[in-house]
Amino acid sequence: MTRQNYFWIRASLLSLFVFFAISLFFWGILAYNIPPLDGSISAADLAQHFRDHAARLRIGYGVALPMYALMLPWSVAVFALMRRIEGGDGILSYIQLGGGILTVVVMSMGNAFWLTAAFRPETDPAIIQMLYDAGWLTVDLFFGVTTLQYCALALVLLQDRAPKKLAPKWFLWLGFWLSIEFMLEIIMPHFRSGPFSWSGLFNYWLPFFGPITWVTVMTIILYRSVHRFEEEDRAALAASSS
Amino acid sequence: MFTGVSLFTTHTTWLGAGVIYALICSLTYLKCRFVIMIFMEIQEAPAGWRVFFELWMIGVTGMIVFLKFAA
Amino acid sequence: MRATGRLPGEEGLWSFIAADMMLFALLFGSFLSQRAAAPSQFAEAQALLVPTFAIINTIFLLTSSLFAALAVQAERGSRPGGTRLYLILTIGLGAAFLAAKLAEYYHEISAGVSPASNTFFMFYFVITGLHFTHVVVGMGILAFVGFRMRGEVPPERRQYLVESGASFWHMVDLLWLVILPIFYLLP
Repeated sequence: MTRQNYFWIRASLLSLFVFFAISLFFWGILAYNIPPLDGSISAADLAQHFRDHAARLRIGYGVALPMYALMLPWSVAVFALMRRIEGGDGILSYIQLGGGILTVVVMSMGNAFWLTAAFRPETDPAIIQMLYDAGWLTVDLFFGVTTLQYCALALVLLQDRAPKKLAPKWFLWLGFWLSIEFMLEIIMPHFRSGPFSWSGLFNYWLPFFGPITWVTVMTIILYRSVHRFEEEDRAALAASSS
Repeated sequence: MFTGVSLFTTHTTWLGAGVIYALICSLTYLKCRFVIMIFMEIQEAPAGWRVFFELWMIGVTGMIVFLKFAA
Repeated sequence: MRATGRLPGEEGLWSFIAADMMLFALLFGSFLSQRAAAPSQFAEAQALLVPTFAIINTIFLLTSSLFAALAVQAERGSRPGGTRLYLILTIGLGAAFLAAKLAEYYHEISAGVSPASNTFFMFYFVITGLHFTHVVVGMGILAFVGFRMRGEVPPERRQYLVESGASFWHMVDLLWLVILPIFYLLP
């Protein structure tokens, strides 16, 4: 790889953190999602919330929505590094890539529903509620693509044959667990309140912040690994020219 | 040994409503300890793992005991 | 027993096991704290459960763990042959557990109970349901292990496979040992 490629790989990995920062502020704070509204909120209260805070919600969702695209270069950079490790005709890197791209689509869609609700909040509260519900059901139940993404990533890193492994086994297996834990969301549509609803401990706090923490650490690990691949390339270049 | 543990369990419910809360808690703790230390071989594991499992058992049993009295 | 300072089977799997145990501990804690807040409602709901099912299931799982442990011992050479048989017995008892659990669910649902009935039954169905899926996964892992051991496999690899499968299975048994008292036995 050329020096320029490494620049884009590093920049793309860092784009995840840019995305997190923007999302935290615009989606999390401005759009009142961290902490979330209660799952049991009535249509009337929800509509009132959207009417009272319409402008702020439009800014929050409206800025966050396009920024999900930053997860795209990140997924591609991860793909490029995974190719180096997996090598050959391995398909796990592609599974990660596919999962990463689809996650961008899913998260964006959910935000589009919420933005729509904020766009015309004077409309029927039942419609506001349906849009709001649609957003959460979309974001929460599309986890399959993200599960596949993280599992593929962990699997390839487990195959790392270098003497100094990029990531310890326990961290990778924790990644497996976190991505499979998403499956608890399957019960989410059955609960409109309580710890298993979309705002609950088990279907909001745990599946959002557990994987985010893991992916943050993983991205730092991968960022630092770029140096190793650069060294390998330099050594290969030196060997071939001597 | 396992038969004894199973019989304990059956014995517990046979006593019906008169079962002492503490009896259930200690039996649960002992059964968990047996599975963890013997079957899962944690008594042979590195110290960090032993601590984790001890804390888990104490934590779970503790929750059962104390949340009863939080009422 | 064996050399000390080592976890049996795949070491990464133990992180998975630990995380799973923490999730269930959180679930148990959620249930117990809700129970502390509404003891009489929970007691009323609990009265609808039939402990016999749970006792039978406890025997099934404890025995299956015993067989899993025997499978590990067989691979380590302290018992002659029989790994395959022990694995089959373990899986078989797992299936028996599932059958009894389904029968119990059927009984409860026919009596008009559901996860929406009240908080007790919400936790009951979610926690036992989640445990149910763990039993299925555990059986799958053990079947995979059995399958992988066919043909020429080096002894360390065989031990590694059986130990890993057994470790996950023991966790599944362990979780049930807590489910039993908190739902069925506590007065």
